[in-house]
Amino acid sequence: MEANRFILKIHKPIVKRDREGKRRRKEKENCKKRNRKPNPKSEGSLNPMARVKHTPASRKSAKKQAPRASTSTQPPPQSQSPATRERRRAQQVEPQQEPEAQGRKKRRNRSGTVALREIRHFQRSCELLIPAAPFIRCVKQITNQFSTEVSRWTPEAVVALQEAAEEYLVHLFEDGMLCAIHARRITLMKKDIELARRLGGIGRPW
Amino acid sequence: MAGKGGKGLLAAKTTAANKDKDKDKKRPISRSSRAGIQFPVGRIHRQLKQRVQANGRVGATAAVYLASILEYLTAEVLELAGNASKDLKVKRITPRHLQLAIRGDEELDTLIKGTIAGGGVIPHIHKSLINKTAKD
Repeated sequence: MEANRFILKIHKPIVKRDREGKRRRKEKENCKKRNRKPNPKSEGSLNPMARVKHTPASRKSAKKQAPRASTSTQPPPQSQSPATRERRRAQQVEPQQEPEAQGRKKRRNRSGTVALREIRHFQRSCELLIPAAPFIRCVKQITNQFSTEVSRWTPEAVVALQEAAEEYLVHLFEDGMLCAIHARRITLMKKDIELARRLGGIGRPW
Repeated sequence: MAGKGGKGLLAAKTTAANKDKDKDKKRPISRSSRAGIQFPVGRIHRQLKQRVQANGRVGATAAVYLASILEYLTAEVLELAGNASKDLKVKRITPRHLQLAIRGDEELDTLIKGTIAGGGVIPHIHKSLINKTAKD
């Protein structure tokens, strides 16, 4: 038993040294890998194994571009007219411009973001929102229905009427929106406006 | 003779006294300055008499009271509107500033229910309409 213990005592440090040597070797290999130049194939994309989804549109564009490239390599015959030559030149230029357009993706906002931006913009401003000329035509038309004798409006009267009309509509939409939110919706509907008018107590139907 | 002379002396004395009174006469002081307010007490008094039913009889203090009330309300609105214009770094009060001042104050909002031309609305978006994930 004592001999066995002695043997174990002798061999334990040897095993430790071996493990330490393996660790050092691994560290050296890792350092070499880090210092190694990157793979030229994977320079374009961050992930070299990334899958590229081939959509029908991309296939079509690839098919279209392939014959153009083949035609550009062939020397154009001398019997061509100058118009056809210009077309060929345009075709040669187009494939160079297309990848740039594909690279620049049009930035799109999420649904509702622009709506909130417009709400903030129009609540900050205080100008009249209905165009003046159509409003005047509408006023003249209604005036003509009620009275043929009165047919002239001063500009101040029209502006005052437009201010009142817009203010009424804004308040009506505010109340309608509160009705929609009360119904756990964020979409304004006809029934919300009807409820707002009904509870307002002013208006012809009620 | 003595009587006549006496009368003459008395007359001379009275004319001298009248001249002194003319010198002592002060310029007319407006009722607004007497009350220590800026709004016109006399004009308000006249307009009250024009519109009142009881044969145009209006007390003198009623006009002063009404003028001071109107001045206080005007000062209140103008102070709030001035603060609104100062916050927006503008030196001119516009209808927008008046609207912000009136709708921002609870008591003035209940008092002035009418429309202010060119005033716009108070910026407010309901919480349920704001997307928490969306970043503007």
